[in-house]
Amino acid sequence: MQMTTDARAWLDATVRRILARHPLGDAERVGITYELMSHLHAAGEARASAAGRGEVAREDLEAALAEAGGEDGMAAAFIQPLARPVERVLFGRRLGAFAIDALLLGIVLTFVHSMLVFLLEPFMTGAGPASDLATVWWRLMPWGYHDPALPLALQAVIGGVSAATVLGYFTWFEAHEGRTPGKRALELRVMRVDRHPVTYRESLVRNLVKVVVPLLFVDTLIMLIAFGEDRQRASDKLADTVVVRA
Amino acid sequence: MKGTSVAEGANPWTQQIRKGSTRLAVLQLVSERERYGYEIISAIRDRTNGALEVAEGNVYPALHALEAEGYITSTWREVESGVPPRKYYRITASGREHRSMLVRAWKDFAGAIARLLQGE
Repeated sequence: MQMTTDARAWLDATVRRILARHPLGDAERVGITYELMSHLHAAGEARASAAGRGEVAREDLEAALAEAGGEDGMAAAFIQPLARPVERVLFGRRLGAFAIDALLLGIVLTFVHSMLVFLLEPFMTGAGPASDLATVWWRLMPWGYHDPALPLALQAVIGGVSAATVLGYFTWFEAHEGRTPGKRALELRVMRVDRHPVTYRESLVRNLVKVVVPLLFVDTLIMLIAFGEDRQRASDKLADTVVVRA
Repeated sequence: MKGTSVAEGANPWTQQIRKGSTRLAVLQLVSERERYGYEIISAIRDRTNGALEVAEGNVYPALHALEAEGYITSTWREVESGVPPRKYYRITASGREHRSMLVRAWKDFAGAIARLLQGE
């Protein structure tokens, strides 16, 4: 029996929310997604036909979920018997994932920088040796390449766009997918301590230091010295997030 | 109907019996013909008049365990385009043996209790 558009949207969102709380491998995730959807649809269908309706409505699915013990009940029935316990990750894999992300960002930024120079240089004057300030800034934020011969204003634009790209990359991927391409390659996932998926805001908080790379080193050092047990950088502590194997 | 069932008592003793019998009930239903998860849950409810008030929380783990032990197998089937597919379970040859063993054990146990209650 078909579902209403509203019911379908609710089913997708609900199943995604239940799964997001649990670190699962990709194969398990796909299998459990089908099982959850299949069960809720079948139980909803039974309710719809008992009520003499020809389409499964959102209320049918909500009632089916309640009957199965809500989201926690569904997780207990379908996920916990299969899910691995959460394993927080300390250093090695995270460094590897960061290296992959940095490489990808380096490629993107090189392209972005070339475009900016190509498009903006004719309109920006004041070429000449850059001030010491600009060089210091670039040492703190070594994303992409730095050409001190460019006009200062253009360097500032490139710096601003680089910072936005770096922050946008980490924040968007983690909030949207639960992980960046580098984390995916090394089977890592970011989640909240309570196992919920991270929001944009939390992702932004834990990734701010990545714009200024020396700060990231300090943050990681704090983790190794003070929060090694919890496997959290100071920014993770602030955002209440962890990185796990999944 | 549920109001008059054994399930309503839900004391620890009936809970224990229910837990142990879920496995047998699931095996019995998939031995008759292939069935999908929700179908098994509603069939148990209907057929036992609610006495075996099973929950999703026991049936699906039982299905996964039985499959891992090789007593049942499953196949995903597309029932209708645009709706989620269904996972149909069927019993295997070793599952039939396991079921016979459980049935014998169940009957022995039930018979023993019956004789005990009759003061034989």
